[in-house]
Amino acid sequence: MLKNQKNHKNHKKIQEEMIDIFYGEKEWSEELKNHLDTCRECGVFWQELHALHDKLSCFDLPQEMEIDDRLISSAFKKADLFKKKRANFKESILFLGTATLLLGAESWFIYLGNGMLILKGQILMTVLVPFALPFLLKLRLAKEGY
Amino acid sequence: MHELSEVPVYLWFILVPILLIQGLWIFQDAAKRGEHKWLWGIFGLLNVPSNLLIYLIVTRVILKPNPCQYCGKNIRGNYTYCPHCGEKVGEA
Repeated sequence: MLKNQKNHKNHKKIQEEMIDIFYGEKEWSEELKNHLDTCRECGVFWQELHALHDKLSCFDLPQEMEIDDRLISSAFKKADLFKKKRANFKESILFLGTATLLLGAESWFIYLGNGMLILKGQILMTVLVPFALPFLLKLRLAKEGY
Repeated sequence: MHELSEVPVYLWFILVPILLIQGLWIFQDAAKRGEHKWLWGIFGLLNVPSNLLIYLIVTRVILKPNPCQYCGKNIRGNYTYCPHCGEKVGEA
């Protein structure tokens, strides 16, 4: 099963390379040639690629199409946003794990009978944290360059 | 004052998820705003609701007027994009 999945991945990778070769962006390598000779799946893919090209050539398409730079830049922006979102999601999961561990440790501490200490700490923090506000705002102003 | 062992366990089961949700929300919001997300996120795990209020005040209150050159609404001095109109207002 695992081997099959790995093989499928390999075929995908090779087929992507074939597309590049078909459009002249890459050269044939010996390894690829050998693979194409022996692999039925990739052979069928190569033939389909040719058939598709033949079919498309029947249409009267302009040889050089104008490319809208705004479209490309918007596509790049979208891709960047997607990457950023994915990275943020991964980090959020990591944070969630860390937070669960920390709160789990706190819960364990409470379970061991130290709940009073935690509660006192919470009350103390509720009272003391607002005193840190001027300091935090000062830091903020410094960060903003005032 | 009663010992905490007498406090119903369900209260802790309520408090812990609230802290978790608060911390996660602060973490994600800080990430969006380009703040120190880990620092603020862990800060959000410590206490409810005072730490959330402190976070909201520090990250949202604008102390010095700095109008956006496109829409005129006040924004922070270190913003790269205006959160109201989306125009670029500073260097990244």
